[in-house]
Amino acid sequence: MIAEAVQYLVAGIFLNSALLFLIIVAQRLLTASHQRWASRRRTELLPVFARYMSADISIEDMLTEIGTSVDLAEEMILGFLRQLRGSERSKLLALAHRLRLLERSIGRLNVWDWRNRDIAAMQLGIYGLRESVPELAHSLRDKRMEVRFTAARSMGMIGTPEAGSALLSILNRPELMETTRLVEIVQKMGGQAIQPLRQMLEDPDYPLESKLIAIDLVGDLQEYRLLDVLHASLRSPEPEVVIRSLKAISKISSPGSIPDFLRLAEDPAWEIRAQAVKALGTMHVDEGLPILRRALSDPSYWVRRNAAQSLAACGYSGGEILREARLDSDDFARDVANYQLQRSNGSLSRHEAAGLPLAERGAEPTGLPDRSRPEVEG
Amino acid sequence: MPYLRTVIFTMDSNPVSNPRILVVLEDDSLFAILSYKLERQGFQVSRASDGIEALERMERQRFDLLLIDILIQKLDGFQVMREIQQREQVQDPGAMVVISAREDEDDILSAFRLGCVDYVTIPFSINVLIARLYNALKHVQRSPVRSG
Repeated sequence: MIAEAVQYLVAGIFLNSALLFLIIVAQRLLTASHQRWASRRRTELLPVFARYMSADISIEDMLTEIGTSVDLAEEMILGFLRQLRGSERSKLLALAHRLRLLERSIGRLNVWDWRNRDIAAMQLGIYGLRESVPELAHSLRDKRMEVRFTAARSMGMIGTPEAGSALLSILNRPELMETTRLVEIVQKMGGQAIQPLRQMLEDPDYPLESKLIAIDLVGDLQEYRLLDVLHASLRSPEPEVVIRSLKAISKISSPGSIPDFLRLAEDPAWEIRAQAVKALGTMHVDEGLPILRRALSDPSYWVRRNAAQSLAACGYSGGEILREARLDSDDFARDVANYQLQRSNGSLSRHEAAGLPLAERGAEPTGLPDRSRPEVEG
Repeated sequence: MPYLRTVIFTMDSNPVSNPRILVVLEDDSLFAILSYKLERQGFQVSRASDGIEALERMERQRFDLLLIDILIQKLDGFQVMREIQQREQVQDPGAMVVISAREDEDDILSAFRLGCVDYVTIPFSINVLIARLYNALKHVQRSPVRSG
């Protein structure tokens, strides 16, 4: 009885394996056959596309040639749209319109497989047609982050005013996107992004985290048209807003910001002082030298370190101040000046002659210098 | 059809008939469209799909124009342009026009330093590209001596 059952079991396993094997073989054969067909069909369609785009045949003739190969035509049209503009693009879009390809992509935004939704969002960006903006805006609430990102990027590519609202919607939920990817979206948007970023930074109702991301974006993009908003942010009661704004302004390198840097270099909060003296170093101007000299004796290690680096970045004048500070009666100033000069490996003069900022050389300090008196934690 | 008018105008003002062009492009689809339009404008189109093949073709044949994509296999567009300057056996490629999806300032400057006369970024209009090719052709005729 048991032996018989085992025999049935073995036979069943064997039959199942054989069936599975046949299915896999059939599937591979079908895929290979489809690929051969697609390759042959593509070769047939290419000259037809060339004639159509050169206005040698009408759109009706083109549609007849495509026949039922709509999937392949869609793939080819999208490929061409990525590479061509001008009159060729207009002809391709007219063809896509007749093949109802936009509707196909919009329909795919709602399918269960997120990869297909993602592809559809990308396709709509390539078509670049405003009709798809409401659907793309809807996809910004997709449950998959990848789809939301692609939809935002496509809206940026289309470049409608609605793209600005899309950006605000993402910025308002910072957990949705990584900052670096937001930069990509905003770059795609170009000028369209300025207004929503301004709105976000000026409106007190937006969450702090969103504002911080928006400030970082302005800095990463070096968007000088938003400098006025960043300057206003330097007066924010939130230290983090001030610090991020200082960083962003440093990246834009605006000489008009120097008075703000000088003021904030004497702020009661050590974090703000540290960032302000660092920002002064990016400007390479003599106006900041007296404050940087004083900052060498700051109670915070980070303020002293940044001040020393900024002085080194200020060329000959800064180097002279550091050399003088080696003989200072203040332990902090002496130590940090010595440290900075050692770090530059005694080549200050040669370096200055080359006109390069010292702060760009050498490695980050590995530890804190000796402290001979209590200091503010940094 | 303002673009076409521009192309026709440039053709009329150019004394070279049936210019020989080597198109170095990996993408079959784009090449098919481009070569069709170029041939309609009277160009004699040859193709290489990678850098090595491009150099081999230029060793065998002289061209009036070289249209080269930067992102190609085996040798990229920059390396091909460098080889053109260095290899004795490579014949004068005529005017070099670069097409590229890369818009970095460094890439564009490198291409011009290597002797290209125009740099076209993808996406582009084929009609505008052809107009630029005619302009490039005139540039070479004014200074036929090869640089480098």
